[in-house]
Amino acid sequence: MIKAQFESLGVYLPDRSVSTEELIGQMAQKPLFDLMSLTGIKNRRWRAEGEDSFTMALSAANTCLQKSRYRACDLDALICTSISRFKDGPVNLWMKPGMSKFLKKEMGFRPDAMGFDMTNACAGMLTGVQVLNSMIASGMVKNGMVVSGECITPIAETAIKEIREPIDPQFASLTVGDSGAAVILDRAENADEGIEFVDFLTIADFADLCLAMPSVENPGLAMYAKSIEIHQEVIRKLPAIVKHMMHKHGFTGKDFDYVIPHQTSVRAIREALQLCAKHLDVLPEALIGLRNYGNTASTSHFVVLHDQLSQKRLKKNSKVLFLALASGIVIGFVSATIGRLEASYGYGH
Amino acid sequence: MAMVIKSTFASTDGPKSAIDMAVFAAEECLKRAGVPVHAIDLLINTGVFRDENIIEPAIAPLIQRKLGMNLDPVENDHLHRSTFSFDITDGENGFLTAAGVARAFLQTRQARYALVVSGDVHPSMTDHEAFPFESMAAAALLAGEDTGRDQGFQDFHFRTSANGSYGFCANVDLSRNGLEGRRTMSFSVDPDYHEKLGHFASGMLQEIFSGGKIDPAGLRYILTSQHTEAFGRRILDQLNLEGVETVDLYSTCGNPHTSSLIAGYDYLSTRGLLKSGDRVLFVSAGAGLSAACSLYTV
Repeated sequence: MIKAQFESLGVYLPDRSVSTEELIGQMAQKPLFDLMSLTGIKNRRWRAEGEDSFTMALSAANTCLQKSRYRACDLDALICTSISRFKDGPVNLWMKPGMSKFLKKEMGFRPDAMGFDMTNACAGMLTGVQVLNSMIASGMVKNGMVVSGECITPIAETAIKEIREPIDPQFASLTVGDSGAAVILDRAENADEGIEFVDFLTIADFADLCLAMPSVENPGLAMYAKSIEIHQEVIRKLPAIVKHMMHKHGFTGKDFDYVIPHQTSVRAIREALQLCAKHLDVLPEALIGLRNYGNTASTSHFVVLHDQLSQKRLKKNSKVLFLALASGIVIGFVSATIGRLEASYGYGH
Repeated sequence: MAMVIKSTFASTDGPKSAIDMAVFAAEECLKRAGVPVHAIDLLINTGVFRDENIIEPAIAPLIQRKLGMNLDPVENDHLHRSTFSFDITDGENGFLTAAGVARAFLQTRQARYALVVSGDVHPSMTDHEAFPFESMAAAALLAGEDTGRDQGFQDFHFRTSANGSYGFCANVDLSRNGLEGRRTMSFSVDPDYHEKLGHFASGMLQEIFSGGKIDPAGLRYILTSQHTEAFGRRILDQLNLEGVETVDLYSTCGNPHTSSLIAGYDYLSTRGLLKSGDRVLFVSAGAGLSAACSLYTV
């Protein structure tokens, strides 16, 4: 099997930053808890006028290409994994053609390159990585891009209008932030670099605990999440899954420099990882970017990674465990050494 | 290792729900194959139009839940056996895209069985007069097998037009539809869409034939999207392919959109029209303009 690597990463973040305080100030029913200390989210980025999922995906994809050795026409596949497929307006939902078709044409991909949309909630980009990694490993393609634009703050706007209860299924909607992210994968240059393993499963018994759909109270999009139940289920199941994956793929916590979990809330992440610690032997440092960016949905792992790489905070040739946790409930692991990405951010080797 | 179609199912008798349609088709498809639901490693939903315009989670986990498919491998102590499910949204090309992805999973030994399900419904979950597609539930069970002979799907080929109109658009601006966002979808179609699409698909095939990627000699059937009556026949005529048969579903059940290719194969297999060694060319085309094809040997 052919091994794949992360070749390039591009992230787009809108300039405008909106504080948790500012959001809560707009609400008629204030939460009974301190949202900022519970989630660790101080600010999140907010789309400007004229921005939507498509524009943010495009900006991230262009940045990714600028850092890459490839041009768009060199790539064999484009997979777009946005939950929010909004174009020509912040809540203008497109079903046909897919975002990938718009992006392919806009960016100049070859007509014979694959281009399709895939959704898997907040595990979308990592599911895209899993799919593209499999396509590269099988020899179906040599390289490709996974991209997502998440214009997801419309759910926060709906939540501000509609939250009426102290415990309300729309509270989680206040944690989100807008962004775009894109990664290029290609064949690994050497045996030490690249993706070691990818493994996902869907615990569908809990598939209906978080639903996003148009609101029936206001024009726009809403998300209804039973956050406490989701957290409890993840907490209950994650340690056993981590133990299983360790045996299956032969790793311990010592094998990783960092773990990047899906960015939900600081408290939830810490609690879940602590429970996994007894199996992992050593708990790798968790990279968390909630303070400035909130939960950016399917792009969250790559927004954090970009933030850390930009600050040159990571060790050289870091080995990272990406941990997907998403509505579905999807739990996934991507293990990768990211030396090539570090080089593209100016790390010397 | 070959990826073969173990069984299919397609029917317009399913319930008016994208989720329930897929569940209905999946259950019947697995029953035909005699494969238990828990054997499925990969579940891919390729339906585009879904109940109440739900955008999260993916529809596939909601289908998996109703199928009772490896619901909780932790609680039930079978982590060695689980299902990974997600949606691939690629319009009419969704089946071939999903089959290509499934083959990559099978060839890298990450899965033995992949179940591809499809079916579209107007978001209002009614027989809405503006909905241009037929709600048809479909499922195809794909398996990786070392058959020792030339069998199953060969390479998958894709094309997107580099310029020009997208041909067909479906969207809903939630800011402009009041409280009806869950029940609304707007469709716009270029007047010459179907004609252009036929030429685009046959142009792709011509290029693939002349490039030697698929040999048209000995083709038995061509299965296509069902945009208009005799859509497949016109592609055959444009390619001057004689002696090749096609399945026209449009005249009996309209355009089944994402379910068209599975429905075409199901039509042939349930009537006993396929025999070992038959070469079947799958061809889809849709908005973009876009098209896909793959040769399948029974």
